[in-house]
Amino acid sequence: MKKAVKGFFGVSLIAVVAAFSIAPAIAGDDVQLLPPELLAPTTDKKTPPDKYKKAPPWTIGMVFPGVGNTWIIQMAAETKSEAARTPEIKEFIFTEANWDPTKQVANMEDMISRKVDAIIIAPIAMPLLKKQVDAALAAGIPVINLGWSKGALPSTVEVMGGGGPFGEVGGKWLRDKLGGKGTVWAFRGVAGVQEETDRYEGFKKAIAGSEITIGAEVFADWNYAKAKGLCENLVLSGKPVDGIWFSGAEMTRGCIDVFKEAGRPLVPMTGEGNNGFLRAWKESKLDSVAAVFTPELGPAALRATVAILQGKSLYDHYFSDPAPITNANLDRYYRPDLNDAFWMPSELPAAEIEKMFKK
Amino acid sequence: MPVSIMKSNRSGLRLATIALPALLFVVLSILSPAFLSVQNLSNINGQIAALLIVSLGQLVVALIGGIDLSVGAVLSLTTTIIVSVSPDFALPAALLAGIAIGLVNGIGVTVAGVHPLIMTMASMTFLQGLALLIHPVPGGTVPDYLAGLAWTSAAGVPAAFFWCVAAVTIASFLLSMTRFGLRLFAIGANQASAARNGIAVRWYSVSCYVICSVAATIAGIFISARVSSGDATVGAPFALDSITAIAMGGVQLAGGTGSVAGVVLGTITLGLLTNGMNLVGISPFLRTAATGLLLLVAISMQRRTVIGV
Repeated sequence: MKKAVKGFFGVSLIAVVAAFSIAPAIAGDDVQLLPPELLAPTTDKKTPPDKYKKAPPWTIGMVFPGVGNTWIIQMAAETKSEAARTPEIKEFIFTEANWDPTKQVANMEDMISRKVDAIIIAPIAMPLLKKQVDAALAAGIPVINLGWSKGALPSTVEVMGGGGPFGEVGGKWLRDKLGGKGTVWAFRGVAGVQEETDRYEGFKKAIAGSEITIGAEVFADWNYAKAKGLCENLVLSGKPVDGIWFSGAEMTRGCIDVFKEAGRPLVPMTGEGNNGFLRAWKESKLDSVAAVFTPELGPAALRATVAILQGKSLYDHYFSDPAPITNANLDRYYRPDLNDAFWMPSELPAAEIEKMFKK
Repeated sequence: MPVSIMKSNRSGLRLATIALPALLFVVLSILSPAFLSVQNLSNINGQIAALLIVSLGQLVVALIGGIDLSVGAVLSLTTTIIVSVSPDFALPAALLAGIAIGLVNGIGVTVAGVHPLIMTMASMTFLQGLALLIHPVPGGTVPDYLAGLAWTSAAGVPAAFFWCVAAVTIASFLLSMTRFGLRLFAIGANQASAARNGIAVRWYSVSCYVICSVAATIAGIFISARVSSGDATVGAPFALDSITAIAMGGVQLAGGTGSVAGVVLGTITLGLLTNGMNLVGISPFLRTAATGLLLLVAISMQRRTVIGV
């Protein structure tokens, strides 16, 4: 365990060194929401200073789509932890809509009624909250979007990762791994969810122009059990497969188990930076790559909110597209002392990580 | 209305049906200064309007002892149709689809003899897939005239209020002032007896499923306007929420007992729960648990009444 902890601090040290080495690219008076290798502005446009400046203490509302997977639970915990460590925040209200778009609209309206000082949103679908975001801004409440609206919302600041670049990581890697030709299967997440479609589009963009064909495409809801069942069907069908792209790593774990149980040699499969997947990757000696979708995006959105309320100027849009975890650096990220629910990188205090994720 | 009267009628209204939303209203008024603000009351109205319309449709089906699980998928499909076809044809296309779905459900249940749970679950699954095929990613543009219908106000009263008043008026008229409504109670109380008395049970049953689907379509039109977009999954929670709302309103799912007033009260109870917990700052997870608990309490306090035997 000590070795693992040491390894983790090693990674942190590298991250800090990397952050300082990249730092000159960012102006000295810029607010840093996360280390630059994790989150970077994608525009020169900045919010006007003092537009939403308010005297503390503040009440901040967060309008989240719903819970239901370990990434969201960790992101919410990291955001609440950051709020608790920020003395200017009097109250942090976390609402979730159980993935019901109409309830999310209602939650947003309730936050405006409650006259909170700022609202962090993570829309189930961007257009859904347009009128409510307009209303909040008209009421002088800044809206920080933990999402990428691509201009659909007039959010004060947007902070996001994943999406197209996430899908591209796996797509590019498969393209290289297969030498630009072959048959792949695509395991997608929940149908109709914008993040899922963005990831898939990123994957398709990465293999466009190659001789790689998609031999099978299924929606497994980012769910281990559903992916396992679907993968069993595909394996038993005898369909050819040279590699598999996954929209989420819970599904990769399901498919690894199916291949092992069927006695089939593993094909290259993509994953993401989740400890459970890294464990399965390491134990099965899979050939893989993991896109990183850090739960630190939650605290980053909260820091953006605090900076806006302090009257500071931020870039309009930030995006997280860190370097992926590869076969070569897997050991630096995997935490054998923690359980499968842990996502990295995390900025939760070590004691909280131990409490939440210790095996 | 005296409790003794409520106990004996077919409305299903009980003291708990009325007391629960009243109690919530009083408690929230005390706990949250923002609760009684005009803006918040207007929000609650907008938040429950679609559920109220769907629940009134569900009431019509429940009165004959049926159930319609496809209402959420109909609602979702409607929003996708609204943003996918020419604005001139958006409303007629959505309404035609609603009528067609209701006919299929009704014929499946009454003519083919499929259990309503299975029939409407099958159509729900089919329609959900169809909605995703039509419009896989949320978005699109809602015709301006529709957006206005959900967001305008008259004399300071928001449009959602008028949607609710219209739905309640139509449902009340249908169930209380027409032979059609009275016969639904008769069919729900004892189908065989109703048939022996000359009521065309099949025709009435098919009509109920059509009314229910059309109600879900109208709710879908309202939701499209409210969220200014189409979303193939937006209706998913409405099937169970509408059943919860009517059950809280004293409607007996076995048929023959229920009222528009009860559905209005049940819907308001659900709306107040969501709004109140947000205003008071209670964990969102507790809302789901509280809804389940309140449903259990409400149902337990409404002993099954037997009518028409």
